[in-house]
Amino acid sequence: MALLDRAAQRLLERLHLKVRPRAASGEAGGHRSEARAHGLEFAERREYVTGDDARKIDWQAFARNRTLSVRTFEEERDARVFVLVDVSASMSRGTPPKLEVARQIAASFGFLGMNQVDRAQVIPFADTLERTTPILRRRDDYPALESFLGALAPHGATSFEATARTFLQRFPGRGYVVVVSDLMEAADWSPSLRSIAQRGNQICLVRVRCNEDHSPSFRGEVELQDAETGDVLRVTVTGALLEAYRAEIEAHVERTRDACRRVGGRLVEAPVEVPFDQLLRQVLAPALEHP
Amino acid sequence: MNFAALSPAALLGVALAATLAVVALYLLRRTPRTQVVSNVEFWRRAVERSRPRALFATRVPWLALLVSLLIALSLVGEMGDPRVGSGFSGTTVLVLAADRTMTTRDDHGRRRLDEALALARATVLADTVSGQVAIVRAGLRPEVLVPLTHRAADADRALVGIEPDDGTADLSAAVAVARGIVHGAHTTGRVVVVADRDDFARVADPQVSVVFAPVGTPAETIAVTAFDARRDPLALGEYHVRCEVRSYSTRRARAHLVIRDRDTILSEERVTPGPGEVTVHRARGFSSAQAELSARLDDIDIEGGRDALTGDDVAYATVPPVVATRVLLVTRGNRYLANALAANPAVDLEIVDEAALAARRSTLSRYQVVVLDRVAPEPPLDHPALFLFGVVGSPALRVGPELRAPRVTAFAADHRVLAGLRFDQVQVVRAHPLLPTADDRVLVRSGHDALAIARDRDGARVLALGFDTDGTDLVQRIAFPLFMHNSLVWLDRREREFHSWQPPGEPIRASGSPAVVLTPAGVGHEVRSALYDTSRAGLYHTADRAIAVSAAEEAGSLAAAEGPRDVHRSARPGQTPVALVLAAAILLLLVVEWLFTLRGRLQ
Repeated sequence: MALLDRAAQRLLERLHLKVRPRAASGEAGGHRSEARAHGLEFAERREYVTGDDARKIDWQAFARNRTLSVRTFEEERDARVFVLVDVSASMSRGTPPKLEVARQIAASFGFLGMNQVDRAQVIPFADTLERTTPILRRRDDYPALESFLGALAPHGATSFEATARTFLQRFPGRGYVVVVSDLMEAADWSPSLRSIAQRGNQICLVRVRCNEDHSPSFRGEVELQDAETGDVLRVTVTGALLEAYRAEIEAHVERTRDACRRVGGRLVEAPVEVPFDQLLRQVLAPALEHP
Repeated sequence: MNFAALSPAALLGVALAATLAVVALYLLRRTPRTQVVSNVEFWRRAVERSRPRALFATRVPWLALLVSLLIALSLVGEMGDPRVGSGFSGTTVLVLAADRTMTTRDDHGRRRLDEALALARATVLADTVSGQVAIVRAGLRPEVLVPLTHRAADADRALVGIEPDDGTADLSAAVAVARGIVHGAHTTGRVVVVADRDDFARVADPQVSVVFAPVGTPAETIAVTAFDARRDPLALGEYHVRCEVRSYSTRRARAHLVIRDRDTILSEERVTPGPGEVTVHRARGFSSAQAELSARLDDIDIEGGRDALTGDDVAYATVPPVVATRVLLVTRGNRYLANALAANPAVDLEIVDEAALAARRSTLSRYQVVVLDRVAPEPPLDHPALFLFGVVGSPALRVGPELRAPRVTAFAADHRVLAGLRFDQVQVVRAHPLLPTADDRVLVRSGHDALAIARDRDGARVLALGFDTDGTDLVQRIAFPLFMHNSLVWLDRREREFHSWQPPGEPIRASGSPAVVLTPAGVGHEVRSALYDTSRAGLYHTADRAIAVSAAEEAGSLAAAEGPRDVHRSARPGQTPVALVLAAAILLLLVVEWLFTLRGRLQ
């Protein structure tokens, strides 16, 4: 079964992935870039410093202000879209499984990247980066993307810190980084997000969540088994414990949301219980606008 | 403290089982099920955050177990019906009246027996706390329902399903039985008589006190107090019925009296007895077969009151079938005897002289009765029913020298032969006194001399008169045919058939072994010789006859006897039942447990 049906593809064709200039890559393309002087669209006027190209001095401004200044122009370049998909074992939980929804979301962002002649790459991760797709540029690459995503299977534990570090090493360029994950790693994600953003990447974090994670309903004597590590915790689940658990989850998510916001990104919730077409329209579409 | 419903061993067993069940359920509840989650770390933090601070709160599961155990053991204890308090500490024997008047209902429709049972239960519950109790049922015959026991449960069980007999209880006999039980226990004791009357014999006994616990309230009833029937000796097949209706009310009453022979209505009339009035009603019937009679009062209406006792509204009687008695009269000629016998329509008479008797010796078994008038055949006749007039001395029946004009000084009016007859005016001109043996019954006596005797020995009956028809004016008296009739009935052993009814409790004898007796309810009982359980009034049937068991008699006043009610009333009325208190406590504990565990206040 295709990850994106025709209706979803039509919808995605109408959407546009707006990438901030800082996040655009070094090659010319359809997105504005912070690289100046070679473009056609005026960006700003700034004071001349030694080493600037003398041809860019704005003599008219010199005549008015008696100070040397140069005119800069925005250069349009391709945006690189990196879709990091969490394939840890916890993604197998939920109904439907979180990984299934994560595949569809990853396919959507990959489709957008290809549709805008950007360079898209989908990179699965658990405790580190795994093998990645080749750079996807054209619509013709979409079937390869689907088959790549279809082959993903949940395994291992999540380590976003190691993933981010590896990602920054392997992909030093800037781009639009989409992280599709259930955020079910208790460690603080803020430093990793910050380090990714400091490289000039634009971050969109999609939290795939299920009721089992968010508001579990089981009670009584329970032996909790970690889906990723196999750790066991024996507890008596009461109403109070459930409330405390929900508070822990909410705090973790809010902390991550704040971190995203601070680095200019955003966190989007994607409940697995919501049908995908509805998810795409109501939840993901706003995320595709420029923050 | 005592447990009424369960023995200590049973209680311990149930408590152990309940404890095991609760502990098993607790362990089951505490056995965790595996639940896979995305990340355990969040749960670990949540546990750290919600960890209870109070020390006792960390022990909620144990507290829950203790609460559950407490609840379970409380329930078990309540099942055992705990009794706390003090009753009579020695031996108590309850005598519980269970006769016809105990079915009398009060204004609320409650029977006296029900009231008596409640009183008995309360006494049992109180006295088994520190003493022992036995129960005697005072029905037609005393019956020990429960021997001495310390367990109220045994006594309680015995009190279930008690139904009164249709006759009158023999309270004196029951009290005597109860007194014997107390004596046998060798402790201080008392007899508590729970009844609606106190007409039992009082015996001064320092060891046993008898306490009368009256039950019932004054009541009114209209009753059939007598119901009898007998055949007309002068009209073959006809019978006469007499029914007596009495009002035990201070008000005027109306009722509908119907007398039936099986389904045939013989009489149907309205009776309106005044307060305390007795009315007599007669009816006639015709049937050569056995009549099965019933008299029933329907639609009883007492002005401003109600008929409290329905058991006395019906009575039963039977009339024997017409069966001819074959009689052989051996005489030289006696017109008095011949005519008196021939006038009886139920007698098939044959007259022979002494000479012809020899030819009939081999066929004597054809005759039910042989009457010898001044003859002494040699050898003596071997017959089970001999009626001898003017006895001539023989080894079997010796006589004394002739008496001249002996005066009748005594006669046995209670014997069936002399029923309804008086012999004190009978003149005897001459007679030979009879010399009775020890088991002979003297019927007519003149001083020390026996003028008439009845012998019932080895299955043979002999009725002998020391005078003949020429030597007395008896034959000229109007009662002579009745005397002859009575004598034939007794000799023919048919006197029982002439009882039109028998009281409840008297056994019904049946011919054949085994024989089947059908009760009024239509239930067949196979019996060896007799059916002894005849506590229910009605018509019983054997293979060859019907027997009426009827309680029609002077019922006596239905007013409840007044007396000290010094028997412990139930410990429960007016007090909050232990079960209610326990139930409230259990409910409270459950709510507390729910608050502690489900609301997560402590864990």
